[in-house]
Amino acid sequence: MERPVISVVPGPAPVAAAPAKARDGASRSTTPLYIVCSVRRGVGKTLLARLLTEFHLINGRQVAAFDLGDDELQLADYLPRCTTIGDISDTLGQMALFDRLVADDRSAKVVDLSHRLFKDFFLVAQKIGLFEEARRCGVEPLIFFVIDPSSKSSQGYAILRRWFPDASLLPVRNRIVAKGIPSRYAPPNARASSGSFEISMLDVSLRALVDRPAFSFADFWQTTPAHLSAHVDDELRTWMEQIFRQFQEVERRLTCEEVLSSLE
Amino acid sequence: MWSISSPCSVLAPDIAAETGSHVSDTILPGLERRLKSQLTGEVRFDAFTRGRYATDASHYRIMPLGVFAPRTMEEAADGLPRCGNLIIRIQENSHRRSICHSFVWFNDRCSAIAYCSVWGSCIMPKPAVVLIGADKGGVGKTTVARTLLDYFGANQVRVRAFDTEVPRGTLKRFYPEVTEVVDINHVPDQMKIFDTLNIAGASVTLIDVRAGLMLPTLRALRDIGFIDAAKQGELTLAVFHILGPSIASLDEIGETAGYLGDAKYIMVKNFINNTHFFEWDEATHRAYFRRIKDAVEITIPKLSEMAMEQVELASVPFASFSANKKQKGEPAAYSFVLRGYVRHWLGNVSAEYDRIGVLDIVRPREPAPAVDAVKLRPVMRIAEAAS
Repeated sequence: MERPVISVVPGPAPVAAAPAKARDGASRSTTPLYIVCSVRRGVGKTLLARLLTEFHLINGRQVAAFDLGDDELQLADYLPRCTTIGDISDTLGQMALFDRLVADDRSAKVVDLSHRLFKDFFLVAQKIGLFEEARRCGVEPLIFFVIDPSSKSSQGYAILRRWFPDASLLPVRNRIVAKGIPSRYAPPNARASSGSFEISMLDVSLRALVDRPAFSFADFWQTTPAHLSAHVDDELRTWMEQIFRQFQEVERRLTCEEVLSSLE
Repeated sequence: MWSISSPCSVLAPDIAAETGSHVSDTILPGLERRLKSQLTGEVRFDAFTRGRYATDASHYRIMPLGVFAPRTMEEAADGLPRCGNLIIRIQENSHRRSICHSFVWFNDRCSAIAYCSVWGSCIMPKPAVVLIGADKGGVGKTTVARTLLDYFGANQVRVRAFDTEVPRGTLKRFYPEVTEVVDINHVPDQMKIFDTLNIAGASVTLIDVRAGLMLPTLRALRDIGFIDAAKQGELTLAVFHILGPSIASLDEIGETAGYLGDAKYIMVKNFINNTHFFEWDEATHRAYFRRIKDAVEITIPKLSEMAMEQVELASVPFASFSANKKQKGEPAAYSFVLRGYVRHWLGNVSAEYDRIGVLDIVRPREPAPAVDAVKLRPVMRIAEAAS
């Protein structure tokens, strides 16, 4: 089977070997805050948030996930033990969420942001200076923006770029759900130097497998389920490796404080 | 235009102590007589006056030879050198706002024998008094006063505040170091405020007027000649009138206008208490506004109730809260979200103050030509021969 091309940043360095186990980033000096968002539903935000969270769990690192989801299957349904359901509709809920996001507790944070709350979340973030405060507290924010060719997506990307000119904003192509995205597509206002993150195609049967609420990427990574054929196991593992390598690259850049110069 | 408001001291070195004789006779015979005949200003060489002017704002004490108060800048610059065979060196004092320029006269052996500090009203800022009031209670007077104190603090304007809410003093709870609680109806307290405008070390005096005392306070200011002094440009008076939501506020504006003269009048619509203002009829609105010259209107936006409540509980200035600091500057642990809201809100309030030029009102820009004129020659010989 032909493996999809992984594109982490323009001209990615070849990855020497697939990680038997994703490398530990314990030497990092900053705590990452990942915000996974999009202006549209069903583009794979929760899938990416799950992969991010479980990537940290596989490496034995502390991670706190926050579910600002909608009425579909949510992050909290997949990862109930490490996910907090957030509510930003009132000040108390905002305090419960944002005060934790900027806490430098050496625990990576992953926010799965519903398209419904996209505007409200970033309005509050701008008003209270979320990203500035995060950096002051040793927390490095990164926005994963799942793109699609719609004008709404371009507008959303442009808004984030305008409101948070200093934020690390990484477009994500999810080929599983957005088949119409050309391979070289980038949001119209993405900077030329911006990299992008790609979730490659996944077989329909595998997609159905990973979409089950009981499915855990971490469990799959650490043990081979007996009911899966070697072929299926190999395909899913390869798919995860490609994504985890991109996470590593993102982490490396965050750790090296290169994220602003290379991803922006 | 220069106005000389402080007497100039003609300083003597220690010769007086050494000789025990009348110092003016020892150093420059006939100086007192000549000064009196040549200058229109007041000339005093008596021991009491010399003692009074032996010190200035610094900790140095130099007994002057005599004291004279020149009436004009020209007299200060040209009159004193008539004292004798002197070299004049004019220094620019680093504390330009307290003492703008010092004149030091030297004799041929380069020892100073005369000294003169000239205080000019164009460089010394006029004292400014900011009144914050409303006749109705609960409209947010103290909140506005607090935002103004933060605004002045952020812009390095030295300010002192008087809280007229005796005996409690809400403002003092937030700004204890610059605030004093006074009874504005009490004459000694009025003296404490208005007799010290020039010497308090703060260019702005902010008065948080208790509910119901706005008009009595303005009446008192008129009676003591304060409003006239503002009209004559000797000081700046700015009134922040916190409007209530009712039509009665328009009547308050009308009554207030009767006292104000040339004072800066700022009407404040304060939304912090969830106030809903009715839409004034345009014609009525204009009719009231016309009575007050240069009246401006500003809006204080709403702040999240929880943020406001937490600042109240912390009893710290808004700026300290947003900087996550306690009253004494120690690090605090306030919610980041609430700090963010307070910072954002305070930024919006400050933008309103910037828009109407509050800093220009209380700290008028120095006229450049006057300053240039006094950036004087470093050293110049003014007379070759003794008179």
